[in-house]
Amino acid sequence: MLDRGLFWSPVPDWSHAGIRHDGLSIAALAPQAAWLVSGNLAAFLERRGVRLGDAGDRYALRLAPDRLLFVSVDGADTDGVTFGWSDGCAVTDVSDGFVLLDITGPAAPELMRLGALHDFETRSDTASAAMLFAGQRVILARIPQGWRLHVERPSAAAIWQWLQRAASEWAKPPSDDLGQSSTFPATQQVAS
Amino acid sequence: MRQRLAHGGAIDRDKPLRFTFDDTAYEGFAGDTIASALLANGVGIVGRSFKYHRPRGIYTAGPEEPNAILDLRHGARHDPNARATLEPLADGMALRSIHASGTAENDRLAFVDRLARFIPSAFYYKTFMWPSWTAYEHRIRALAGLGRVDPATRMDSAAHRYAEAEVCVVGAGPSGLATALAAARQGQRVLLVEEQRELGGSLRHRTTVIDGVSGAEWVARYEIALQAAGVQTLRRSTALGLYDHNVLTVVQKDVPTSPNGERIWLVRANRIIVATGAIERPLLFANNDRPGVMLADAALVYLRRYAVKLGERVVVATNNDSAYEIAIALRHAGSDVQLVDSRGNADPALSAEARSAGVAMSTGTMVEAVVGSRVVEAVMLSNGQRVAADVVAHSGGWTPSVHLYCHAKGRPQWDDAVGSYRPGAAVAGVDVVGAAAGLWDLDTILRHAAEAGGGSSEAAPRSDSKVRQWTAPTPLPATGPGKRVWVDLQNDVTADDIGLAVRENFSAVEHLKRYTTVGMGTDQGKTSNVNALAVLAAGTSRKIADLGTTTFRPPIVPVSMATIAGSERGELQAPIRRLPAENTHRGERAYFRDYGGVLRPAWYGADADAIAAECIAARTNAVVFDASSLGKIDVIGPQAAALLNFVYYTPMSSLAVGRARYGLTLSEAGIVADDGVVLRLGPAHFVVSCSSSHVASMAAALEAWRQDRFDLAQVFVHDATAHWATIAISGPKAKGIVSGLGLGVALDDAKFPHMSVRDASFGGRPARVARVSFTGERGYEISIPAQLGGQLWQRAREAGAIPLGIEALGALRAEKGYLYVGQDTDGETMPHDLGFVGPRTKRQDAYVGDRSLFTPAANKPDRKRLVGILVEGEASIPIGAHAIEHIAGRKRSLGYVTSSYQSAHLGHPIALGLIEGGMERGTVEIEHLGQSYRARLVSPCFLDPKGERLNA
Repeated sequence: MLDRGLFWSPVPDWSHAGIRHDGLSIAALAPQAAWLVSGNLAAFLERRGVRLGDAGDRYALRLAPDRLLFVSVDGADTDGVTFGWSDGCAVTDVSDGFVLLDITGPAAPELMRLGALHDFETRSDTASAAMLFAGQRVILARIPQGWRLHVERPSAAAIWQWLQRAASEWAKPPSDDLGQSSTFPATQQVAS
Repeated sequence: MRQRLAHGGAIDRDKPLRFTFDDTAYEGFAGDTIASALLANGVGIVGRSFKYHRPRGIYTAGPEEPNAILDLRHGARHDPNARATLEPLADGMALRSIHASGTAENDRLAFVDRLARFIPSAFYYKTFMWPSWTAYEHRIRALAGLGRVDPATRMDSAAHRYAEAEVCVVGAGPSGLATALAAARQGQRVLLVEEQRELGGSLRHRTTVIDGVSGAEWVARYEIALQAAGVQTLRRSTALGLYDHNVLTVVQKDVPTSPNGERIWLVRANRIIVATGAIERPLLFANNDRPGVMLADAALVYLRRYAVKLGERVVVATNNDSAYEIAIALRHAGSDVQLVDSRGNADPALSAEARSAGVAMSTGTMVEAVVGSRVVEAVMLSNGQRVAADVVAHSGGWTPSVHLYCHAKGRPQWDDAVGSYRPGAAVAGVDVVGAAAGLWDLDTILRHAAEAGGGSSEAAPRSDSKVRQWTAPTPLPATGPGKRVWVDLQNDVTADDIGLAVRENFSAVEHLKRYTTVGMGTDQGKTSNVNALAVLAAGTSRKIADLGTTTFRPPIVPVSMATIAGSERGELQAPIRRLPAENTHRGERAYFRDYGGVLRPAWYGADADAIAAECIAARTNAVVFDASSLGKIDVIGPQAAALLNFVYYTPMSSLAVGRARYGLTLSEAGIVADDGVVLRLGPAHFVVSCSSSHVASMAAALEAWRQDRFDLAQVFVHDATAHWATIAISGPKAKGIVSGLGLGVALDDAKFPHMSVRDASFGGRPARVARVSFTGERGYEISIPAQLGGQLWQRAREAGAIPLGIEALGALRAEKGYLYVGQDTDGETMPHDLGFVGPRTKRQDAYVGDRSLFTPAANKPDRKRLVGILVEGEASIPIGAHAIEHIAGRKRSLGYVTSSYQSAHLGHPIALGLIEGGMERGTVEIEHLGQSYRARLVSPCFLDPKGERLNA
């Protein structure tokens, strides 16, 4: 049997991974902290001083009626957490479970529309941020001039490869009558 | 003689394009389709028919084309089935006919047509029966089919493109344009999908006046207005199918960002507007398939859009008003035209108009037959008259294109008066407008379309077009000896074939289709369906309305498989999950394989000999194994213990904090679903470490049972598998190695016994160490945050641990009789078949699968049970080999081998199997592909049954 390590491309070094093309920039980053939180979300958000849909380096994305992903990109304000059960909340550390991929630039909307049947422009804040993108499970957030994909580390290489193909081949600026939108309305927008 | 007119048409005479067809060079112009360029060059025969190899010419000007399907090569592109009527001509195209043996003009198989009366429909199935159809099939199939795929020209396609819209309008004819603009002016986001390069549909070749200007001028104005209103337009894009939740699939052509020039769109819209128009229906007469016979509207398209004069003497045959304009236009272009109207009561005003234009008229009579074989020479009318002609343009009325409406489960209704189907009851989210809705009067169409777009009928565009009869029931052909009347051109089905099917009682419409192939093929009966129904109805003395239709299925036009695959090729076809330390393993020269959706090291080194050495190292030294893909599912909350107790066959609520327990989960049917280790980190915090390939299903099962019967505020399931790298260190020297890793854990066996778990730290971050073993040796599973996986692996290697791949692990665990669920179990295996009898006999509380363990089948004494198999001799037995017994001279399977290895440590082959009655059976005969083995059935544990090595 063939060595399948030859078939599958190696995993990128996420600390240096980046894609640049006309009107498109994709950067990978690892968050300092990411937690899965279930249960009494209102109490958790109040304790952390974060609201669903707020932008910033700390933010929370809803995954289910009683579950969210809390992310602190720089690791600030993550003190005093108890993983496991406390105060009506289940909290699990998943900081290393995700690779964050920031997709920005004027060509970003066209690229996003190659990944999923999803209304990227007008989805409301209250909807779940979990979706399938390029066939993989991701958690989606808005950032200025683009979108952030939270990708599970084991599937990040596959999405990365898809993004490389999409950026270099399939997501060229659209032809005249494809009505490109240049506006970026807020949908679970977070800043970086 | 066909020729290009000096003026007119939407072609650019300053831009000549060269191309070849069957190796002859021709010239066309920018703006031509392949079909129009071939016609302008006087090419009459473009292909041969599927079965009889009759010469065929261009028959239509649209997607319904049954004949002009060509092999197209252009640069790197190869399309084995290009439809000449839709494909724009490009410079340097090389075209070839596909069914001909030789060229379309000189086909070596043309003699087949002379055998026609010996090969009616179903001839093949009736004739090639001895010894079996399969003995002939490959030769007959080689004669059939369309173009041939050339593997050397394989091309990828782009990723699919997704779009959301409030309104998606399919078709940019007058009704589609009116709906799209009305909807856009209501503030709706509108996507307009049009098959052709230009908008306008029939307005581009029919004479009309809308809002006081010509149809062409009106389209130009609307194009500007649509753009101003923000309507997105997809040209050269054909809707393929309409699915649940109003998802429409579209294939777009001429896409510069796609290697094969095509891509699929998936459009989800609140409302789909079907404005797909109607397809002209042929008239039925003998030899109606001859080159030079074409649909009347197509003749007008070629004249007006492409400035092709089709012939000198044209017979226009019709049963409706739509062909009058065509007869007059052809006359104006300089052809002699005879209009043959089957109706005795043709519209007097229209007749007068035609006569005054110089068209000769015959009414109340029909074309009965075409004279000529390679070209049209004349037609015979039913009144006995012979009319010399080189072209026959015919119209049997119009059939609304209701495909998309039918995909959405709409039921078309037969309308006897016009002899066609039209949409019946409305379907939510789908509106049908224009000719597709069975409307023919342009003013009515525009008003109805504007209303469908949400606009008012007062603001709708107006046309003073008179209501005319566009469609009528098809007159039936005169039949008789030698009169071969084609109903389906692509599949070579004649009216006689349908008659034969009826005589053989294949008289239901679905049976007729299968028996004769009418309505099959790449045109899916676009021109033949209604006529086939008419012939069938007449043959069975029934009404068409009572016959029903065959089912319309997507795609509406053929699409290449590469385009459907889109980006899902190569590595992107079924992406695999990766270990966090994959690149570290690459640095160790790991030989990788795909295991349960994860790319993992099979062994380390160039060849499989490494496996034995890795096994020995595990028994004598210490090995390090990457177990990162094992499940790490947090179950948290006051009811966590209760949830796990319910989901696991093995009781879990009694597990102490800091301890680990091996357990099985079952399906509701009592079948073993997974095995794994549960760790208890705190009173309300467990970790489920299930097998790698069951993580998603286990997380889903836990979540499903949580939602089914537990307090939703008291227990939660978090899959944190991706967060952790798990490095397992195992072997007699494991303790020494782990103690040097700086994990901050006391390894004293009294304080940290086997099957327990401790908090630890590594690289300044929280970690945990579990004492578990899958090798039978002392083992430590160290879980650290994923990004530190490679680092810990390196530390273990520096401390002397030897890398271990999965193949060696498989042998080591088999020596211990540890099972792989799914390999050593099958769809009938229950826990007591594996020797796990305790919970079944002792547990009183409810758990998943409990009742299924006590059915009569579950209690049968001869159930297949897990056993160890010791084969006599040196060779190991293949997995899948069956244990057999002989009863009355016949063999019966007793079960089979599930795992088999050459044990490096024990020095002989070992195997596991599922065998009826288990090891009490003693010895068995095992057979595989004619080879027989004697084997002894023993306990599945071949090594250290007391487990002393775990603490060695």
